Amino acid sequence: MASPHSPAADTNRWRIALVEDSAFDAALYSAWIEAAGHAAVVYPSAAEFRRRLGVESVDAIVLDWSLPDANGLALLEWLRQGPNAGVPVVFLTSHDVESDVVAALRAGADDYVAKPARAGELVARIEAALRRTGNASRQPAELQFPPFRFDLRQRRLYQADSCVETTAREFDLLCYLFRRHGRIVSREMLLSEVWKMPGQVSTRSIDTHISRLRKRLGLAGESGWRLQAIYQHGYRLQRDEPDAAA
Amino acid sequence: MSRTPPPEPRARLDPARVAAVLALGPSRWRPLLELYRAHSARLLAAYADARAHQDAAAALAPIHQLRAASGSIGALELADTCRRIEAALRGGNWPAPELEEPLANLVAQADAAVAAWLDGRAG
Repeated sequence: MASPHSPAADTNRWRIALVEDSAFDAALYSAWIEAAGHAAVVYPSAAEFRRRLGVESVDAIVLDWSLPDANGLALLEWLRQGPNAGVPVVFLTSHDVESDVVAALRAGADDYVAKPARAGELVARIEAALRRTGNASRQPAELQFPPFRFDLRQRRLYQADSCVETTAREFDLLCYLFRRHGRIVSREMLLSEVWKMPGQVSTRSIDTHISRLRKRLGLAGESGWRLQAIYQHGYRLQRDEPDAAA
Repeated sequence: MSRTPPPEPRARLDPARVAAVLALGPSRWRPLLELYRAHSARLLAAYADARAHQDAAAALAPIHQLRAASGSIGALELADTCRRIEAALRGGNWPAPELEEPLANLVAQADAAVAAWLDGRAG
């Protein structure tokens, strides 16, 4: 079973989705989230959120109750039935009446913040939701995804107790993928979050790294993990579940 | 009897809210405050347009957003007025004239207060 983990081996940077139609609020909350060291991705409508979340991976979602094209509650219910069901959600709402808050929490929200939000409280609640849902922890020493173990302090990867030699980039790439296992990660995200050079590196370089790691670590199913290319979207790493009928 | 001087524009903004914006540093708070000014003017115009066409559904979104943005910036009187207008609209009614009439003036006051912050820190 995987231990709690932080988003990158060398930083505490999370990718936070903001589903918010108000341009000003989106800009303000993004600025607060970024000032806390995380990345913010704004989705100005429910339609865009539904369309892009299928191909992008986020670590937590801040969801506005009132969107121009959908009720936030309906969007939350949709989210909880899909592949991103485990992503923590913090509701952001001016509807601070008790019945609305109760409805949001019962529909699967992890927390809520009443608008106008306060900077420290908003960021703290997002981080707390990440910790509670096992998507974050304070300074973890290692990640365990048997048979793999990442020693984050020494920056070493072990496979069934044998140390596997990796470059710094390979180590970061593997950490990034394992932390988001089960979710699609786009090449653009990898360029931005692992290579940290969006637009400056060919996506071919990613494909080459992926191909090499897949072969070396048995990520075509041999190790119990499968790293798949998702056509036109990116990659998804997932456990290679044994056939239930076997 | 001497008249009471008009309040300082920046006194109309809640200092704690302003501080939370200013804490982001000038490279971030300046464009944010400018965005608020443009955003609030646009939302007021959208509300007025919806009002003129008696389109309550179209009036709801701009007043809701104006409430949120104004609360965030610390224009609390404006935010509260928006909250009450929004409640009336959600209840299926147009707000009472005494609630709606000060709206444009409150937006102007908030805009002046934000402009004062921008000017006061221009140097």
